[in-house]
Amino acid sequence: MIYPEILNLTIPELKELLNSKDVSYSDIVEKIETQINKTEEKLNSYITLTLQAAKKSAKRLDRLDKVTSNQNYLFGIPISVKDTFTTRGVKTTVASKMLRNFVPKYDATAYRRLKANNTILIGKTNMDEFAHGFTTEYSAFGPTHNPWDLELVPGGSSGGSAASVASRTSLLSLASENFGSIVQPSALCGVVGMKPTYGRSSRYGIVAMASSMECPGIIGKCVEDVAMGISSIIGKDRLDATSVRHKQENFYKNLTQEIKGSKIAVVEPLYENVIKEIRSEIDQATSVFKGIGVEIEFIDWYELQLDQYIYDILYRSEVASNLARYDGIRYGFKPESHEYMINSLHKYYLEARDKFGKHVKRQIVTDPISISNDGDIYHEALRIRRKNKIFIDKIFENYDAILTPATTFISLKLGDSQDPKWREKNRNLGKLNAAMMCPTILYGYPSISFPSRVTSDNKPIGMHLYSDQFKEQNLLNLAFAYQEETGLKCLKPCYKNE
Amino acid sequence: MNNEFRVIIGLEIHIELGTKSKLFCDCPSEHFGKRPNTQVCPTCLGMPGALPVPNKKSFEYGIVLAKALNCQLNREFIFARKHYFYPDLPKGYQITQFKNPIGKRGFLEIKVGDNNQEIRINRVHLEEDAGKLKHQKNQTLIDFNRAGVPLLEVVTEPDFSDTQTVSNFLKKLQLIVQHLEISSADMEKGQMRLEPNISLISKKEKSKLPSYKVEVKNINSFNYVEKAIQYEIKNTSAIPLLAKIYIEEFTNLRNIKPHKNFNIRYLVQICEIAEKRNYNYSTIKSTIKRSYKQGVEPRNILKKINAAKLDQADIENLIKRVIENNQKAVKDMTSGKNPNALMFLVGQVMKECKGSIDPQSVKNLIEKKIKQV
Repeated sequence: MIYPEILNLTIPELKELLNSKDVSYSDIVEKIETQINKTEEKLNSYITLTLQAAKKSAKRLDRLDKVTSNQNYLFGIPISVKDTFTTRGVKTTVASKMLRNFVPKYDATAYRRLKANNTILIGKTNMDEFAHGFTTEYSAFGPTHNPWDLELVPGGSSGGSAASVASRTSLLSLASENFGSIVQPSALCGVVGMKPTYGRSSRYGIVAMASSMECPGIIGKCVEDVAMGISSIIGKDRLDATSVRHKQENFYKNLTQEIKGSKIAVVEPLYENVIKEIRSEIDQATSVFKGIGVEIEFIDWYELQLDQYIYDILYRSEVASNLARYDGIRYGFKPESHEYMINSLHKYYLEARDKFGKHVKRQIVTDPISISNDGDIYHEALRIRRKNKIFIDKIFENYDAILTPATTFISLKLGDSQDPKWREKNRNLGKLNAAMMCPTILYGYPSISFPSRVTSDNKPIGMHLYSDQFKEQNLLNLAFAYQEETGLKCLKPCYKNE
Repeated sequence: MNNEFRVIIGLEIHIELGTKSKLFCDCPSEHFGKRPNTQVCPTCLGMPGALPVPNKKSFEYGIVLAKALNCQLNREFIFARKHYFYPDLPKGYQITQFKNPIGKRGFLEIKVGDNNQEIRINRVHLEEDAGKLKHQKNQTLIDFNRAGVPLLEVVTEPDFSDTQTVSNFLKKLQLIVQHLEISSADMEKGQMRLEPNISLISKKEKSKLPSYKVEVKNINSFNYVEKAIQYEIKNTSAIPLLAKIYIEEFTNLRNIKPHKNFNIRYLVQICEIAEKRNYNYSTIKSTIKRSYKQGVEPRNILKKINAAKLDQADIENLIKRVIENNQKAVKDMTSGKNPNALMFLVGQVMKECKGSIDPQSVKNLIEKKIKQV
């Protein structure tokens, strides 16, 4: 795959060219359009493209004064947005038939902030329907393919976002994290993905799944780009009661490689239980960190399975509840049955709720079990959740971050995860995945995944770091130091079967 | 009045708060007489991604009323979601309070004649209102201006035993609410809604509470509360719990005068029959309606339905009539446009004959008839 050089630059590098008028905003959008024409048919990263509007915006920005653009790095940068964020005037489907034609009249706050920075929307990216999945295969609009190898999954649920950045059809992507939904696809697509502390960026406008866990985040092709993106989406929002007031930080400006003396913890029981290929990847990553002056220590952990249990109970209850509003009464549904056949409310609901995909339906039906009967199981899960957070908070008193792999497998072929034989063979992965991803989701810690290595058969490997709340700068610095040491930035996938 | 029973009444009162905005969004909460769906936003419409942000004044009003009713105040505000599907409930759940209401275990002293009676308050809690449905002939309209309006719900213990006490209590509560300026409590505007829960218990059972109660919902006049309670007292003996479901159907008929021969015992009768045989819900509903309007015993109505053994000519005519009245469905069926059109026509025939013909033969006859044309 050929990449126009301009799309391979980091955003700061691109900024220099834009400032010196060597390149115009319209040029960039044009190159992106060409790239889309070349790759979209094979990749299917996007559900909706907004290229006409993008070109108009670019023209308008080209006419504006140079001074305005200087202060804001994201000015004129083309971005893609996961289709779970409501975008005013642009279809928002959550990759589901249920919202197939839904055009919201309001922007998600995280998107609105990026818009206020004058970024240019290229389109809405593909995802697992209602964020239920880890491969982007559960989309009502077809799966997304991994730009590194078309037969592989890009990960999920933000697969389209990660693939769009990796294939250069966008320079930054707004995605949401829900059980590794940013971290994992970023790793599988060889890009950088980060989510801030829960509450630091507003959830308003994210089609809600788990209200106490979700977080908007940014995917980019290098740490610098992601740092800028994160800075622009954080901040208290009066539309989100769970958003917190915390100082605005310019993460890009404060990026530094001075991380000598930092301490990173590796969860020993997790390390012992992953497959040996992943174990050797952890070894490789930790040796790079040691080489740049970071101390690595192995630590103990509570029972690996606990987080999976709590997550299942809490996440599923919240999801089933948040999906109750999709009843087809106010939006998202037009009866297909002929009018004379829908003569009861019950029939109407049956037909409307039928629009959910199979996997979403299964989840809705099984989820309420934990909140029935006065919710005893639910309350118990909440109690353990509070206990575990205290445990991990204590770890962060002595360590700057915890390191885990970003995936439990090196790569995954499209279709495999639905194969019962694969599921049987990989039954153990569920609890390992949960032990890796759940802490950031259940306890609100910020997390980042970044490329740690590219294998000899051209597969990107990613590592995952998370830290105490509000310590995003530390995470970015660690990832940045790793990136600069290894040169693993702006990786160029070239899909095998071209 | 059945002298071997005494009546036990508890009250649930909903008070619309006079805050400027709704409970979880900026929309104005004063909605009476406003054009439908002009005071709505993504949050109170339950749009995807919209989030609730609580309104501080509502909490203050809740605390003030809880204190006025001598309740124990809760130190934490915890909201819960009550899930059910209904068109006037935008999110598919109502945000309300469950185990941790603003106030509980309070009381209000009222005068009854020359004596004072202390009515115990079970709880006072905050919740959001639902939208309003307007039923018309062939459609139902929904207005969401009221969705999200803050309500305080006051629940009493079943301490009432007569309508006069109920009336005195409600009037005093209304005065308190108005005096505290948390609501105008104008009943005609629906700002104070009453739900008496009525049970009858045998005088012989001194201490036990009955295992059921009849809830009469959506009353907006003191007069009607008294009437409803009196009616209940006059006509009811121990009604099994099942009857509650049917009685809720019955209260929809409240604007129509019942036939003078109608006796609320008929509802007991229909429950007993329904439990033994497999009548479908629409048959039960229509039987209640018929019984109520014509004063006929349900037993007899249902007997007639079974006895309607239609002869061949009747069946032919019935099928011809259904085909003539549903030309669109017939067209869809013959053109193959709608594969379910045939079953729809079968359903229409079954409805007319009240299930007394076997559906398979109905299907064959319809197909034959249509082929003939």
